[in-house]
Amino acid sequence: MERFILFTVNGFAFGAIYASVALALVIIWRATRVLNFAQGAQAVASAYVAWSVTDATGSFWLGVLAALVSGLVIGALVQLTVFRKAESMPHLNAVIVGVGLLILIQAVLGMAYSVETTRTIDAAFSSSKWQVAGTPLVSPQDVFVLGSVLLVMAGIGYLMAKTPVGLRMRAAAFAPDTARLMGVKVSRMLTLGWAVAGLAGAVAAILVVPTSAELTPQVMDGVFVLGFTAAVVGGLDSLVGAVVGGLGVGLVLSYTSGYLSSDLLYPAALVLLIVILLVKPEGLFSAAQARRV
Amino acid sequence: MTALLEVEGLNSGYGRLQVLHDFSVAVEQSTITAVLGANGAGKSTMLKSLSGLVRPTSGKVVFDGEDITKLPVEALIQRGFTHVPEGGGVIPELTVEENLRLGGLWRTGPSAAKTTADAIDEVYDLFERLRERRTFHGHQLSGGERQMLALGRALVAKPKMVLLDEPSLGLAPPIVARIMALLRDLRDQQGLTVLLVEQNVGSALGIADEGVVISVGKVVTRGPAADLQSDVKLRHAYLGF
Ligand SMILES: Nc1ncnc2c1ncn2[C@@H]1O[C@H](COP(=O)(O)OP(=O)(O)OP(=O)(O)O)[C@@H](O)[C@H]1O
Ligand SMILES: [Mg+2]
Repeated sequence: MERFILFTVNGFAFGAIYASVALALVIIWRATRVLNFAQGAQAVASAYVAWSVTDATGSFWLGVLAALVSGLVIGALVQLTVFRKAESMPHLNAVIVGVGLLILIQAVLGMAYSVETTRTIDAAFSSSKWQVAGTPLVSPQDVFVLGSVLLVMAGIGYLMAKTPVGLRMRAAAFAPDTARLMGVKVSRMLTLGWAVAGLAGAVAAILVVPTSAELTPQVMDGVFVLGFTAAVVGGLDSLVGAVVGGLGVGLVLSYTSGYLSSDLLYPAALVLLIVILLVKPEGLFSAAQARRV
Repeated sequence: MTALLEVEGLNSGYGRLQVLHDFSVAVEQSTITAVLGANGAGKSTMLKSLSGLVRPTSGKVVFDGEDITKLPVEALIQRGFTHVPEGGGVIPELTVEENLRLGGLWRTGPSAAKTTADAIDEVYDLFERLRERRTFHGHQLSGGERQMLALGRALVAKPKMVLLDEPSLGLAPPIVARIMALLRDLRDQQGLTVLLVEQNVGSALGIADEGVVISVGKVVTRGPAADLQSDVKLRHAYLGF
């Protein structure tokens, strides 16, 4: 029972991070049909911004703030410079552009930050678990991770569903021509979408880097793959799907690596991906059904 | 009196395919002009060239005294110029209410939300069916409800002019009659100006003031709607009945 609680809590905590990455991918996918393979690398760049600011100012929270802002800015810049053209190209071009950008960002980070120094980002709060009746339950950091992701999701959800800007963004994503006839500046809404996605990615980075030994340009590679899995499980088209997919992937992987072997983390993700693609290729929450009408 | 919409010598098409040849039309304020023609005649292309969804290669579009030929599509609605595309352009993923709200998003200023909310209420008064279905998604509507929503959304913008691309497409005769009657009332009571593309020749000429017939991208005849309606030879030649 104690192990079950541990694996469940860890599953939720990591799942929340995957959900955050998945959310970033879904926001961009449904607006532009581009799968942003550079999302993880962008997030790492934000993590380096956090590290630099914390290093210079001594303030952890200033670093976090800088990472969030840089997430927005990097997202917007990537769309304005690299992807603006790729959106109207065949899918494969966008994939290649994304992978190219991924390599470029990692190379630049590798050059800008020498490997001699070991860099780490601390967890915001203690990772030792609170005990309830002798059973270790959750740590303050677990609560922080889940709380942050829930907050980001609630924020993005509110923005999309309840505000005029969100309505513009959705209209621009679903029906660009109709949106323009209604006076929506579609390209501006797409840039905004990329910025919000960058923010979600930066949040994931801030939360996941403390669980790694060291901040390196490749530190998000694995998380990106799992976030991508979560997005596919959720249906790529649905924000709710991204969240459920992320938590689901987190739990499945936590149980697999906990009860079986931690070597099975990525194989299990792959199996999950294949099963979903075979059984329900449009994902659990896809809007594709509705779109086809 | 100068016309609200004046189109001169418009040439337009898709890449190397020229569809529209030297198209001109003038639509007076508070009138309905019907544009008729067979499938593929270039009617939709003509409307898209007016609103900028397709960029004309030459020619001029003047609306309310302003040259709008090169304006971005998204700049038109605030000038009172709206285009309801073929099929209506209802966004299936959004609810009825959200689709309607899109029609007022261009408004700015402190009273914008109130103006739009009132305009949406007026549309609900026109189409009670939409009020009942306000939380339905676009893809859950019938064809007729979708056309009502498309027209209603344009009306939320309180436009001076609307371009309508086959609002009767796939609808049963009573609904077509309702939509036509509504357009006539909007013209007569609110001074709306309409450029109406239709295959449904009888219904369109029934409410129109002027008619234009195009064939293979060229205007073949134009005149008062009543004259066109009685021109049997013309019907046989270009409209196929
Ligand atoms: N996006 C496009 N790309 C290339 N050619 C097009 C495109 N849209 C229309 N066309 C061509 O332009 C011509 C005119 O099409 P258009 O849609 O304007 O006709 P229409 O009069 O509206 O016909 P319908 O009554 O069937 O709606 C057709 O030959 C069509 O094949
Ligand atoms: Mg047409």
